[in-house]
Amino acid sequence: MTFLRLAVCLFLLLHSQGVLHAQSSHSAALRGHVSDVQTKEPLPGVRIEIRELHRGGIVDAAGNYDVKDLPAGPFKVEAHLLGYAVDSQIVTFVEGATTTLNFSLHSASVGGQDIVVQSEKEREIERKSVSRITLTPTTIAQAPAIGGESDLFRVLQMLPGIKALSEVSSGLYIRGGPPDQNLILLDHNVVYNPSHLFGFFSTFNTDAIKDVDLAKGGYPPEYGGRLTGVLNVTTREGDKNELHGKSSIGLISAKQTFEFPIPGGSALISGRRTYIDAFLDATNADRWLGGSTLLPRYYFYDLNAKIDEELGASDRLSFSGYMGADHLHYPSNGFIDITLTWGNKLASGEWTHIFSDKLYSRSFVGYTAYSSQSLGNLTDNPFEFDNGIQESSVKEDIDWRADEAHDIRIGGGLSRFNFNFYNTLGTTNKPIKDTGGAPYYLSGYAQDEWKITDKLTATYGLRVEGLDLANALTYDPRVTLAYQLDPLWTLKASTGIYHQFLHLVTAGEFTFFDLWVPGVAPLPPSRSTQYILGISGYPTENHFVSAEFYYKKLDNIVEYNETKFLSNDIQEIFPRGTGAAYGMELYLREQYKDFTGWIGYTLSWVNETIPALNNGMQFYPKYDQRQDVQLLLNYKISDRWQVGGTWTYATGQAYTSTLGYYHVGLDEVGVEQSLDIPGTMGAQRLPDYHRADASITYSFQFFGKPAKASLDIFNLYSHRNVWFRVVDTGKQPAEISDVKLLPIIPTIGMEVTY
Amino acid sequence: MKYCLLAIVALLLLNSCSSALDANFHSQLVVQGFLYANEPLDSIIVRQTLSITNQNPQDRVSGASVTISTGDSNFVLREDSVRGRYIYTDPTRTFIAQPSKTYHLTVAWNGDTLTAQTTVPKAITLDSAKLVSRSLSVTGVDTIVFPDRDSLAKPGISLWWTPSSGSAGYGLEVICLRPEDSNFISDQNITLSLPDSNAYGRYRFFILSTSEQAVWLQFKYFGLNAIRAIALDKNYQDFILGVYLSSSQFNNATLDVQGGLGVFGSAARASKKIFIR
Repeated sequence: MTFLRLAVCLFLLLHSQGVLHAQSSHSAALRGHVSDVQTKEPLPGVRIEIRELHRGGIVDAAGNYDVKDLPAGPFKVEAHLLGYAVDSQIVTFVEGATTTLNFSLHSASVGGQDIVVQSEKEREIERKSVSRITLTPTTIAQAPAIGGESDLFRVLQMLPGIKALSEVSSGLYIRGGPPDQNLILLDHNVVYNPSHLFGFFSTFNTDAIKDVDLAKGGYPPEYGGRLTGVLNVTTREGDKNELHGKSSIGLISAKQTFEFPIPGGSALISGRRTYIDAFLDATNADRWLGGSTLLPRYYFYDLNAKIDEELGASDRLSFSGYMGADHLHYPSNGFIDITLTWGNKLASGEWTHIFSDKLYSRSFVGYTAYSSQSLGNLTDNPFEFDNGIQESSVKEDIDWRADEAHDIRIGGGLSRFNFNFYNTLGTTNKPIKDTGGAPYYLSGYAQDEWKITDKLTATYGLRVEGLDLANALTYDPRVTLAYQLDPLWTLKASTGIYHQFLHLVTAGEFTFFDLWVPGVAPLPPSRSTQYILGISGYPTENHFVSAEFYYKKLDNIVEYNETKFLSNDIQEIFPRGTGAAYGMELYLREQYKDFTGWIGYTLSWVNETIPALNNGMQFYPKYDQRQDVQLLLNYKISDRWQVGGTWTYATGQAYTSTLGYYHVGLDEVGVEQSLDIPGTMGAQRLPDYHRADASITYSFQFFGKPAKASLDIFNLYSHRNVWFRVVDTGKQPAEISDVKLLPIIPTIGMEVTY
Repeated sequence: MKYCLLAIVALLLLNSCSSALDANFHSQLVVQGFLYANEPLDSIIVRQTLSITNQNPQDRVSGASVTISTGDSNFVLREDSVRGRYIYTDPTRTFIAQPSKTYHLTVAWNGDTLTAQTTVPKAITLDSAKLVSRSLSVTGVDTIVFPDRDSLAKPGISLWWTPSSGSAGYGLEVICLRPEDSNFISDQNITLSLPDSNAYGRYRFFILSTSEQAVWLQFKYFGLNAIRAIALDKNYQDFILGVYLSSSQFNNATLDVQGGLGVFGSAARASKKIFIR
């Protein structure tokens, strides 16, 4: 409590200093709104410049800006946003009055093709924050795809500090943290299982994405509930002027997007579905295979929808929905038939209200659910295994631009969870594990982005959160400092405390079996303490360079002891311990004319010590990889041709060897079973991993509409990387073999925009 | 600044060469034995672990010293004709596992000593049994006509029993005591990979509640069958959870044994007999 008081006092003290700092003799002001001339969408991140005064501002998420304390007189005001033509107007500021100046910017796209640009918003984020990366749909779409399906997570895995467990897993392992340590948000609503096809693809349909903002660590107090990072994905708004559509077809899936105006706003609806099942049905594949082979039927789908309504100049309503599921059916073979269904459903509404040019609020109400269900018959005995999580939440955020030096944000939220796990066989119906009903999660925060001097900015604040089941309230102070060494280079440092109450139990290689469970008293929530030091800059207009060092101390982290999964003691199922993750990331990005690309290098360690595992000794979890290099390149050869490629090299993942084995009888007279004797956990390494992917895209007119055809080649040189290693102790001596990952897979796709 | 960064990078690169040392294999004793309340000891099996480089599959240990003691008496076991199988053969007294009593096992061989202990759960008694809505005799043998395949989805036989103090969990097993004409109940085309199926078709299903249903799936043969409710001690339950039900590559059946691996557990069990035709 003393610590809380200190933090509040510090907050108030710093704020009062900031108010003093901002005193000025000028009283003219400038405000306005910036939007895209075609779509009428607001354009956040536009840089407003008044060169003569060396003054300016950045347009906020709602498209608004304001500049205070200006002298009276005529001045030229410019609006800059890369990818858009610069607009400028001369206005006369009047002492004691606020001048309104709106901009409608023209896109600088060339020949109907998107150009890859970095916006001022991205640059501003890169300057002031640590470990933040923003991506545009264009960047995602230009990366090589699999099955004609570009994937957000696979692009993110090409960034330093972010790893994939395997090429059949889209889970994000960020800075030594497994996927459940990352908060995945779609329009501020949590996505609990962001994957399809057992983890092969993410749930995010790239045609529906507006932008992607990823914090690998050191994220501010407005976010919480996870130990490592935050991925914030925003759905696109629809076109406010006319109907547009986009159709894409690939080897495994098709996508369709419509966007259109509605009274007072716009709507967007985008869907995606795989059609391997339809293909098998259409070709009657079972019959071709002799009639006795019953092929499983599989598909997944996504449906994104968004409605935006402008209710006057000060209010904006937004409704967002997502529904996606995977469906796998094994037809009956006389013994078993089984249908697996798993997926997410999200619905949310947001109301943004502008009280004044200094104050606006965002009210959020949302519902998110993930469920997985196995339904079937085992020799005519029906069975069902279900698990799921539902969260209903309300949140309120208030943004107050107190003055030129302080941007204060406060907010809070309340969520109610429901967890369900049960199995049935015959008429038996009982919960697998009772987690104690429907817990409530409460959170609140206050943060201030304080421009202490022209060169030094501090983002600091406090987050308080608690889960009633855990019977714990946590206090997380966080601070990030950014010091502008010169106009090009920024030195940054960040530290903070992060807590996590929910944990993902991963039972197997595939995400279908993933299970979210809450921490319950007397187990304390997991906690990380992060320290980040970095430097970033723009050595040239076309290059961005960043180096970051991080150290993350982990306490009360949870591991799943699968040998104890039916234990009555939850502490046996989820043993706890400590850990540490640390390393260094280097990142060089180039954007020059028709060439874009980046190279990333990561050197990292992660270790854990769980008293109940590995005889209490420290061990490396399987996602510990010492070094990796990622390269992504895109080159626009002409208006028609574009090529892209990626290359990944990573040192081997940790794995646990088998030292020996022994036999036990399953009863007094029954058969024997062989059990392996493990070596030290994570002491061995799989062979190094490397893979190159490539793509080539041809742009053309399809019945007068812009179209693209693409050829994507996954694993260009068909290097069969090792997935995992198995030991067959049925042979003497035991035989060790590697289970390999995918070979070369070429795929084609096509999209038409109209 | 530049040199400082370079130095840090160089240090980190050098450090990246480090890796953890793996453990070395050393052979250990493996024991397996179960006591059942009010029943004589069947046997204690003694094995040893084998290295994955081992060329000889023989893991049964011959010539071990195996003793079970209760504090006031010792039972010395002798090796049976089956290598590695130790039984109690003293003609002057019998070994009957007593409910609530704690038994200590000691196995010594080739300089290694393994110890374990178990406390036998109290006897379990069946309270009632039903086939759908038809009440069955708890003690007698009921004859049941096996339903046709279209009826298999209907409930099987349900048992209720009084909790046994000292038990950590319960299991249910269906065992064919005397098959009739060796006819399988299950479709011959079905390859059923049940965790435990010997010549008489034993199926085990482990649960935590005090009532359970034996679904038709669990019956393998026509003829005389027994449905057993088993009250498990913690060692036995750990073994079940670690060996039968774990999907882990490295099962952990070794929790309750010191100086080696394996299980020394106990249980109490009660049966309901049915004749299926």
